[in-house]
Amino acid sequence: MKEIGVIDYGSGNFGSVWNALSKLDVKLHKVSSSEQLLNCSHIVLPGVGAYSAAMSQLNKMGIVEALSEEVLKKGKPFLGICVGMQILSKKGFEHGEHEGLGWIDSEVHKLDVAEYPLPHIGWNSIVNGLEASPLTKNFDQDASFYFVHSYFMKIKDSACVIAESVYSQRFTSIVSKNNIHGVQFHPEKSQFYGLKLLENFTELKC
Amino acid sequence: MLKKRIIPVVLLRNGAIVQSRLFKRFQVLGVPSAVVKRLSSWACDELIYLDISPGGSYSFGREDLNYPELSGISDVIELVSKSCLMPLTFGGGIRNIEDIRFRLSLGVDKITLNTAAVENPSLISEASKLFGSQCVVVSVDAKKNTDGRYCILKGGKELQDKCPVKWAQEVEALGAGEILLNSVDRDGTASGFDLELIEQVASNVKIPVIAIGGAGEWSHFEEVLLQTKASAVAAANIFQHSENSVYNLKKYLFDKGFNVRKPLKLSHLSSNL
Repeated sequence: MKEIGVIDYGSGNFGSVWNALSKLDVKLHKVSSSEQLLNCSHIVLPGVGAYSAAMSQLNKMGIVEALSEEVLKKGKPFLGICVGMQILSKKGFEHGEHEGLGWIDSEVHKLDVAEYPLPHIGWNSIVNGLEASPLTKNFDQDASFYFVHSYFMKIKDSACVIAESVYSQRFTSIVSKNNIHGVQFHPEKSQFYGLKLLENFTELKC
Repeated sequence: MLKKRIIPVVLLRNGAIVQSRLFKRFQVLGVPSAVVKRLSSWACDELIYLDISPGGSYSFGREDLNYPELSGISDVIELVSKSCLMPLTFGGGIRNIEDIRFRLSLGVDKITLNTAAVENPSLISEASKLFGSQCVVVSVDAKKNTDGRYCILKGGKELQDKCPVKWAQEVEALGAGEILLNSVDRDGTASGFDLELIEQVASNVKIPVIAIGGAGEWSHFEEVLLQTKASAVAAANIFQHSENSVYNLKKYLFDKGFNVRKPLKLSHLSSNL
């Protein structure tokens, strides 16, 4: 049985992510300390809210070092959702300049949308890359996902950009680097394809 | 490309899902969880859940059929959010920041304010600062007054001397993320949406407008998408009375080339949902 750790760091969508994952045939662990990470085969970092708030919550929990150990050294599959994806970057520019986990060479900036309203809210599609990721293999080209965000990840190494979406500008909607994955949208709110993506994640091998 | 949304609205009245006509008559349709599961499996884009209970309990009154007695609104929300793998907006009876915080903590994604927004507009700005504008929907009930001008209603009944366009602009400036625009004159009539009202409001704000009130056939949804700048079209009654209603509407619009999510019958794809 796959042991999925969901990090509970006060993010607003912890419950939704938990509810969605509990529909799959996996064992769930609520992770609120470093030790609890050890038992997990896969790690999910949910996220709603601001970049700096998410980082400072993780730092306050004292979990960052253990997380790096499990993901970077041991190579456990990791999935960051929304802000949980964005803090994989080196720096974020939401309300000032803040340091992230730095696992992926990138920065987080505000979407440049001119006359379009922010946040970008609603169902949007993936313009390319649906076939490239093990998370979305065999997905219908019409698959769409639920987005709520105002910032996006600007990635230096284009090999890590797996899939992109468009809202006034083009932006990365799925990022992957080895065992580290991030999605800008909310799979836990994206019905069939969202649940399928989560299922595909839980089937990744360490 | 960002899709136009189709949103069923579910009205909860003392533990039962009901149908409404002109905000006055209420006919019982079923229990909260069954209705939500059905709509969710038909692939709607979001769900708006409005509590219009005038007070009292949330029991469906049929414990003999194994429907659990619900002790309060928190039981209802928890039940709904567990079976809802899509964005969930909750409204009704929200008066202050604590009411909002409580509902969000139970798994609601957005809240909608109506009476409280009219009585205390600063609640809109306070809520959007604390929780983000993406989760603050202001519901605007519009009705023509005796001389034919559109006005807004407070609490579903009291006509205010304020134009919906002006009020929409005010709530946008206060930080509302979306507007749920309801035509009270069309509520439950199945005679079509009030396109004039929708266009007036939607073309004068930048935030998304969700139009509701008057859906009676699929072509009414088409009219809103063709003739107004609304970002989403919502309805209550029409989705409750036929099998696969949301799917059939989506298919109707998708086949005509509208920018809506491709219709999927989720129940056929996955037993998990």
